Amino acid sequence: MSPIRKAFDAEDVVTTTGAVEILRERCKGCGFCVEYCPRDVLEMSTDFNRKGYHPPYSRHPELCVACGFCEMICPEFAIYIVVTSVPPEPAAAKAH
Amino acid sequence: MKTNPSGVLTGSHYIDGDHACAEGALAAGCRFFGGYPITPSTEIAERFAERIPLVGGVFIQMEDEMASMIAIIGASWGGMKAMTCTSGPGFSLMMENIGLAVMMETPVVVVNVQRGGPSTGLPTLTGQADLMQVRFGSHGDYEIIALCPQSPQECFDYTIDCFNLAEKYRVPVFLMMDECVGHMTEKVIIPPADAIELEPRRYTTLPPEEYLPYRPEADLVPALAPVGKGYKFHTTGLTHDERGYPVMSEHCQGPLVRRLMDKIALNADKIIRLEEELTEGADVIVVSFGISARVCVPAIRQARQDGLKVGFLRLITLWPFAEKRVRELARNTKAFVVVEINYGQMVREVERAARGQAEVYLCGHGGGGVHDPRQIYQTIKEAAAK
Amino acid sequence: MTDALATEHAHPMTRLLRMDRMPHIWCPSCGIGSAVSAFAAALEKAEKDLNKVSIVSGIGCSGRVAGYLKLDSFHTTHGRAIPFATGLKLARPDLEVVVFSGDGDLFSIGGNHFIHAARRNIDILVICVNNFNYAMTGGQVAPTTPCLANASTMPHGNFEHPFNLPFLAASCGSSYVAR
Repeated sequence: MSPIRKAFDAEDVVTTTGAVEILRERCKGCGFCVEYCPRDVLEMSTDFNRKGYHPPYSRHPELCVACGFCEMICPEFAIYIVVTSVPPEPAAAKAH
Repeated sequence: MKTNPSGVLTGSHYIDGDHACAEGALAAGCRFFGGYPITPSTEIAERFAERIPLVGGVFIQMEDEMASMIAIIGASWGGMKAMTCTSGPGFSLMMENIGLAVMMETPVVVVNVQRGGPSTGLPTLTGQADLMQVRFGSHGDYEIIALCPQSPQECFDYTIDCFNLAEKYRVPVFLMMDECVGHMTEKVIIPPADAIELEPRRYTTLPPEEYLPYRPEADLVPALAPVGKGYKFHTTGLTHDERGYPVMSEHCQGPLVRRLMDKIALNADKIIRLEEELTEGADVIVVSFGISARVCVPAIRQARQDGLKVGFLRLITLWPFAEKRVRELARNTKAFVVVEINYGQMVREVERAARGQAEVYLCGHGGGGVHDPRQIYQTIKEAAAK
Repeated sequence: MTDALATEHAHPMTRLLRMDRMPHIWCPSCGIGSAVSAFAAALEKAEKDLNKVSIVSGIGCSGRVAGYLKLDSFHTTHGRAIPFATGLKLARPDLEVVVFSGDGDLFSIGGNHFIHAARRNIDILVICVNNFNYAMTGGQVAPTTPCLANASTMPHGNFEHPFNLPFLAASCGSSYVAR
């Protein structure tokens, strides 16, 4: 049971969605992106890149809201977001 | 190219070497001065500070000499001709960033109005003991250019030459004045602006995509790129490749340092200026520079009256050293007498260049004053007798 | 392989980075990379003319920033980035001059230059990445190292008190100090 209460209109709210692009060869396996993602989209893989690091991968790509935290925090410029859809109107207006 | 007339104080003046140097800088188009007060160079800074608001440009008194040296490097990269002035203790502080100017290949002019040393020494009295320091003071292998004036008129003229050499070879150039010449008041004639020839800054003609900051041209000197015009170049004090990017390797180090030295050493013939008098076939050749060169005059005159064949070699350019000429002269002369206000600096170079083909005598002086001409005359006589 | 390169150049920061020098030398999980990312994003968001932004850095891990940003960049001597930037700015007031360096570089060897630039209110932006030690050379004590912390030159615990950097900057006359 999550201590975070789920909002009543959680099912109705339409958020921006994004796709995570990972530059695997540039990753140094620090794990910041996994740590900072608020939707737990990412997970560290068990693959190796050329330098021997484990890059992340999108475990739950459908959860990405294109917040850009991973892009901003990555020290290696190895991950970025592509916005895949934008909500038709502000989500707040829909609630009322 | 011609200079901007706004900085040229054409006319006949009665000023000292320090003031003449400041005027020379302005006449050469120098519009940035970053310095720190130190006797006996302070007057250069003060005159510049006074003149700049009328001429246009920047004067800033920095917090110390290290900041002064690097501020002028920054200003030079920003496109201005930049200069600083100092004396022994400040010169020592500047060594670190002189190395940076050499490595980044930045045209700047540094004036050292030498005084008695070492350390705080004799702030208000003359010396000529920073000559090895100007050449070897910063760490690592490199070459620089240093000129030495003997009068306020030459302080004016050679400051302009320093700026021209700095632009041509993208290297810090040093004007090695001394307190005597700096504080000596004499007639200085400043010519009309159109009589002053300047070396233009070597900017590249290539577009940003093709430009490499450290790809040398035929004379081993690379072209500069202007800041703020989309070149987005990188420059560093680290050993770097032609792109200006640091490269930590032996194979990068060798060629870079070789080129930094060769661009001066292989162009030495074009750089070196000397003044010679009756050196061909002389028994003794007196070698001197700066104020000491003037003190040699009565001594040489007396020795010639005694029937000795005495030649005189005045080093206008201290570095690169006139090795070739000294070697040539060594073959046909018995001895050199090197007159300098120190206990043995340029004499080492003369000895090295002479390669044992002539004797080399030092007529030294601890500093705080100039030689007694009789001391020089004595040394000439001793040299001729042996 | 072509796809990988295409994606590389699709990264939003590409036009601000010297792509020919990626990957950079900072250690895995070093926050300097994140600081540079934030700086690059800020330049974009502020819509700065990248031709007019110059970056000056000193020596140290943070000092390597100049080498990775695609701007007119100057990697100068230890502690002297600020006076270089002062000279550059005075010669070219039209440029946006940014100093990007570390705590040791800016506040130890460069301390004097910092306080004077703050006093003079020179129009430059100074970004200090504070990692509380001299990292490049192996973790020696710095003027920002917390009291009692271990450093390679304070192996029995740091007994000196660190600077409070924002207070120092403000007291010297900086017109804008942020952390």
